[in-house]
Amino acid sequence: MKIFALPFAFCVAVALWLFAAQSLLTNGWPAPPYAPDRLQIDDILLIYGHLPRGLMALIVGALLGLSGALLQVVLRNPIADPSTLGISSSAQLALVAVTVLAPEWLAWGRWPIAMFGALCALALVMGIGAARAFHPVTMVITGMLVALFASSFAAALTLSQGQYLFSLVIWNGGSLVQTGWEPTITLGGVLVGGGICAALLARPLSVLGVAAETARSLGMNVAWVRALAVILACAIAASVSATVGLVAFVGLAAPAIARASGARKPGQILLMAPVAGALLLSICDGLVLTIAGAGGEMFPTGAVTGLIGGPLLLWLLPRLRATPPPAQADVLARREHPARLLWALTIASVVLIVALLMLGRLPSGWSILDRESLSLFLPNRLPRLIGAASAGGLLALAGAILQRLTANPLASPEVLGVSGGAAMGYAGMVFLAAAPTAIMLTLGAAIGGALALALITLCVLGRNARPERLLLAGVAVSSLAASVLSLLMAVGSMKSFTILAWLSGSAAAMTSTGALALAVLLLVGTVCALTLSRWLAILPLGPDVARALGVPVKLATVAMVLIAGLATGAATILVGPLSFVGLMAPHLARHLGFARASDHLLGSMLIGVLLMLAADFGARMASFPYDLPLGLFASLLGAPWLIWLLLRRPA
Amino acid sequence: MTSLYHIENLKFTVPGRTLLDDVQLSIPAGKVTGLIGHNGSGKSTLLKLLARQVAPTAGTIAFHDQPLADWNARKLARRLAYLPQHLPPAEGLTIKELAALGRYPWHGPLGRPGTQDKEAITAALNACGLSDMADQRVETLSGGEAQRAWLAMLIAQEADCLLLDEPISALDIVHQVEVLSLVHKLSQDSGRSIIVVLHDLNMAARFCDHIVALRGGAVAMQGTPQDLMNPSQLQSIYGADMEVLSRADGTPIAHPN
Repeated sequence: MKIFALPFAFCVAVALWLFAAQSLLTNGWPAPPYAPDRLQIDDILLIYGHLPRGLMALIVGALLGLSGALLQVVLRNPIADPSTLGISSSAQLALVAVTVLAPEWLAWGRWPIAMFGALCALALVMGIGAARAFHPVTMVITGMLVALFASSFAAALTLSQGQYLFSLVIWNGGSLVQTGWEPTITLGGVLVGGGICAALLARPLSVLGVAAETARSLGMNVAWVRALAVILACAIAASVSATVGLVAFVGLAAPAIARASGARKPGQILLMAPVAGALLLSICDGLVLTIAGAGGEMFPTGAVTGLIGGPLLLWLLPRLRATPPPAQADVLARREHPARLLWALTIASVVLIVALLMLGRLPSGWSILDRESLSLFLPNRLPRLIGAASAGGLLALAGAILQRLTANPLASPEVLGVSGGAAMGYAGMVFLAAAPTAIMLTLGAAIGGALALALITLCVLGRNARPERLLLAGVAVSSLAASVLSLLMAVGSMKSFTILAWLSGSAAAMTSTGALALAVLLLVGTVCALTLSRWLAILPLGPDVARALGVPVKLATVAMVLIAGLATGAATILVGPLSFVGLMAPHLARHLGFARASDHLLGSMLIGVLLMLAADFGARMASFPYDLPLGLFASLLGAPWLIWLLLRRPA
Repeated sequence: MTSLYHIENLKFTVPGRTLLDDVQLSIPAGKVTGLIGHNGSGKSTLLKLLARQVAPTAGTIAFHDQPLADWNARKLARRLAYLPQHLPPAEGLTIKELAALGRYPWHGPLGRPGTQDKEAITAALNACGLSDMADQRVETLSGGEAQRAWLAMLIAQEADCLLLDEPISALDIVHQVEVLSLVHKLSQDSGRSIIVVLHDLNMAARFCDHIVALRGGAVAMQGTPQDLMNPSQLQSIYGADMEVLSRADGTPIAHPN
């Protein structure tokens, strides 16, 4: 049965391709020689468009399958691939950035630029992973954060340069449309070269696949093999990114298919995965061509394959051995009198809000507002500040809860999937309603977020569900949301602008009702979290200990997920799905010495407030008098520092 | 002999494998019971079932004559404490705070910790010889000290039954004796029942009052350490040829031939 699956898939792929070619084959197959000046227009479309496209699908699929297989084997991680590790998205960010900011560099070719972006992401993810024993879930969460950051930054760049929007969006989606043979031949060459390199690496990799320690004692230079394999995988993924754009999750699916059809040893997986990937992408492309017909040019195949990523991750979850993340090697400080610093942070937040209310910027310089202008500005400025501060506090609170619940310091609201769900709801409303009002949009986002939350809660409730499942389920929902969004963008028109703007987050449109609601929610959320802080003190010790102490583990988990999810959803509506405040603030709080659960929660919350106030100020002032997106500014503010913190090795 | 646990027709399966099959067992109260057996014999699984960490596929477990499944979670935790084999990292906690977590079954998520809780924590730290280092961080402790810190949490729980899963597997020989002596003393001084999974046959014979041996998911033998320590019995449990020697004080010690 399994043996027949691959030839059968090949027949399906060829049949789909032939079916899509029907409209071009009205005169029958053209006779060689294929000189363009002697061919009919249909024949030209066939020979220089449809034929290379079919081959391209096979080659790109094979390349991504190979890249994913290499990463999975070398990292011993069944959910690693160029998309989940953020490599593809970073290559895409590099290309978008160069296209928008320095188009003249494109003259050197797209491949070095994509390679640069991919290598940056790889270095980052591997660096963070190396400090954590390449723990599979942690690696994927890091990669997903990198991917989310890269794609939202790319979206903001796109937004700033509207005229490029459409070509960029379509390219982002991974269109396989071909207008000649050159790209196909180039990538074919990459496939041959990459295949040979992978074959040479196969034997060292199969030794490494057992265990790094064993490999080392067998006389292998583990660091070199690891580096060579990931760089090869990265180069392959970058070449795909440079040529056809982002084709998501084929690298994840192909090795999984290879394993499901019986490949066990690393060598077998490396051989089977490219075949599986080629067939998978070919069938996907055939389906896109068949469904979309001749108009399929606007419907990128890469975005369609993205749709399989989320469900695939959910399906792979139970197969992933749930290991708790390795303990942090360094002993973090612990404050003697945390209450003092908590008071100081509270006072600082209030002072900062007042100061930001009073401080104004005029075209000529800075000034303290007088009574008259203050009363003029207050109705506009106060809601905005309160809203931003509350959103920051809510995200930080959610982050602290999730990090404690999962005992994973990389858990953050961004990977919970609620933001992704909210974004899908928002986008859905933009596309479905003829003229959506603000309330309808908020409602759409809320419904989307709630659905995502329900899905994740279901995953947690499953039998023997470990807290880590929560994070991976969140990653799955996030990636599904990202794919749906990029599909909607690709088929959309001016509506894409609305979504892009919301995705990067802005506090400018905050109403006083909205701000008040967020502030109340922050208060309620903090009180709830503090009330349950004893659970949050025990849960980091893992479900076994918690159960032995009589903690109702399932109830506690669901309660925590709900608090964190609601907080994230509410804040997302204001600042957009990404800000990193939820990841940063709990880290900062822990590094400031807040160790006990209640101190940690309060400290994180206050730091979140301060961070978002600072981000709001920066977003307003950096390019005065224009607003920058708040969530994005917060990410830019925090990302470098966060990366330093995560890469730091214990002394 | 009052029985702590009464187990009938216990069966536990995971997809594709039966880990425990038709186990009938009574475990005595107020004693140190050692669970021994070869790798994969089901001893850790049995302990997890006794701790209600997992639910049996079939069969019943009665704890203090009441079906284990019927116990309320916190009421059970006041009578039954469990220490998993792999201790999770206790990030940021001091020894005293870790011990204080053991009071959760008594004060619950919202209750105010009272003097009784404080006394129980102090007593637990004393019993484990940790009073002088109460404010040290758990992460900075050596293996033996960390094991004692976790035992202090279990003792603060004031349960009359402790379940320990290979508490000495990661310790050197000095700390092994130290921890097991503490375990034995905890049982003798206050009549606690302790069930401990052990890998080391001789340690089990030396520190346990009662031995339950498993083989291939079924009970192979139960009785006193003396019943265990003879070559034919050991042959039937481990399938290995063992020799039993006598130490100077007359206690037996087993050694593979």
